[in-house]
Amino acid sequence: MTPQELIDTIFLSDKRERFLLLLLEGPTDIKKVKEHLNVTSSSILPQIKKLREKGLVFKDDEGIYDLTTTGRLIVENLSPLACMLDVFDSKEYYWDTRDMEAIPRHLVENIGQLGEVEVIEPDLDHMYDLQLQLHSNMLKSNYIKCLISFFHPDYVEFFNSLSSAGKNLELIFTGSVMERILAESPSDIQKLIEQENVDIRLFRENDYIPSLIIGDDFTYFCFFNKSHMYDHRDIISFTEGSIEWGTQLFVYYRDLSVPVSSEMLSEIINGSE
Amino acid sequence: MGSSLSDTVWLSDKRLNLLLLLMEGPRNIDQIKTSLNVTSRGMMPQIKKLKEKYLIVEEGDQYCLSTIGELIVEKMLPLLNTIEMVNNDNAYLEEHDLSELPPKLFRRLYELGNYLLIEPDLNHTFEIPREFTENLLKSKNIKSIISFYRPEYPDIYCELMEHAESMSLIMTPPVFERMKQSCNSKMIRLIRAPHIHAYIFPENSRPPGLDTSERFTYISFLDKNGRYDHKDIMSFDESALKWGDELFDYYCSLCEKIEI
Repeated sequence: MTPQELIDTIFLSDKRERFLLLLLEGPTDIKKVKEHLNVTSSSILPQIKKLREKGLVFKDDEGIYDLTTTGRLIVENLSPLACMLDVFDSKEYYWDTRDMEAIPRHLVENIGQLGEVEVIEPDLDHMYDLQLQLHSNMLKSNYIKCLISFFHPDYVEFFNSLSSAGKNLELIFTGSVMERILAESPSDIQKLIEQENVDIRLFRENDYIPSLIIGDDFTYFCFFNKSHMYDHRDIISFTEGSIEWGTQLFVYYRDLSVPVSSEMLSEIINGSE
Repeated sequence: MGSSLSDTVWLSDKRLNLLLLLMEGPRNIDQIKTSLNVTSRGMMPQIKKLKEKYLIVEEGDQYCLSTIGELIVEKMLPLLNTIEMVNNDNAYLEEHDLSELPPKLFRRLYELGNYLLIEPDLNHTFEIPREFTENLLKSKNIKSIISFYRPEYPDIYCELMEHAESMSLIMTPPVFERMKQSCNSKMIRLIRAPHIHAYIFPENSRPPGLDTSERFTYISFLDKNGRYDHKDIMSFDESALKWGDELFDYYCSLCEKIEI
């Protein structure tokens, strides 16, 4: 056998690759295989046979399939790659043009964790409204974490209405966004910060970080492109992996940010008057 | 309909080899032709496909990996190294008990790198392999898991005590008992030496035998019946030293220190 034969065994058939990845979740019988992969016995059995011949998979006396030791070694290393390829697949241009500089390396390497994502293309007629899907999903959530790196005139008012509706908000603003807010709606932000269910922090180190909104069951990302422009192409995902990944990113920036108190705000606002 | 990203990456030798070559740095077409032993005519269609998927970019006369291309190839390397390892030593890997390894280090088994599989010939089955003792005696900082008893061990580890700057030993309870039985005074001297740390493995599960230092990593996996078949793995690669060190630290965190 050559390494190329093993590569072909794994990748020449999408069914084989998906079957291997399914086994990583645990041993399984043919009934579950058919259900999970949405295949017929006659289409999957020849593929399973090939994997058994190569020693990657075995079947026990009760008809349960599992990975062999070498099969497991391979699929454990296949899985992170397969996840990453899934995230990038058919969105290669989008991902290749994003600015990932400000994101910690281990999170970029784990971007496959996002799972199924939808890229939202700009709708020319509503480009400057709060994006519809984002808006409705925020209204449905009880706990919302936001990292805000570009200014939107409606944000602070919207946050105030969410807070009045009893939702908990953790907000991190970049320096430049905070400046704009203080200049444009000082009374709204002062009202917001006095709410008990709102926590506001300031991230001063870098203005070009992604915006990120995490609700109860969704994540929404706005990445700058490589020229540090916001091109209105956003990402929404509803997977557990994306919430985990997004939360790690949020916590990373939160640890580098400083809390903002209402006293600090009034000093700044009154001082600038 | 376009093909999937996975197909683009895997379903052509030429494309795969080009991605791996560009992982080492930008190359122009002449360098690509020489390194991969291909013609322009054979390579250009593949280059085009990789460019269409934004995996590589052309800058002047140089080709290099794009941002996502680099992220992807970085994830391909562990898989390719694993496939190569499985391909070379399938029987060894299937016959031995790797399930004792913590999941993280199991997945990273390929980090053993360019290892040697040591199989003593029949006339030397009961001797400790020469490669093992030689390298261990030259090591300064040693971490060992003694998972089964050999009559030579009390002497060897006492000798190592004289040479090494520091040594950490993990013993399974039966090994510790045998070591004390055969040579109690040496064991007491060993455990009491200030630069030696001795630990006892908590239960009756058997970790693999391991010796790792700044020079090498030497590992004796038991077979699937829990027996030692005298087949060992030895590696001098940097990644293998790190892997061995992490493995020791993992088992050590489960142990209790021996105090006498």
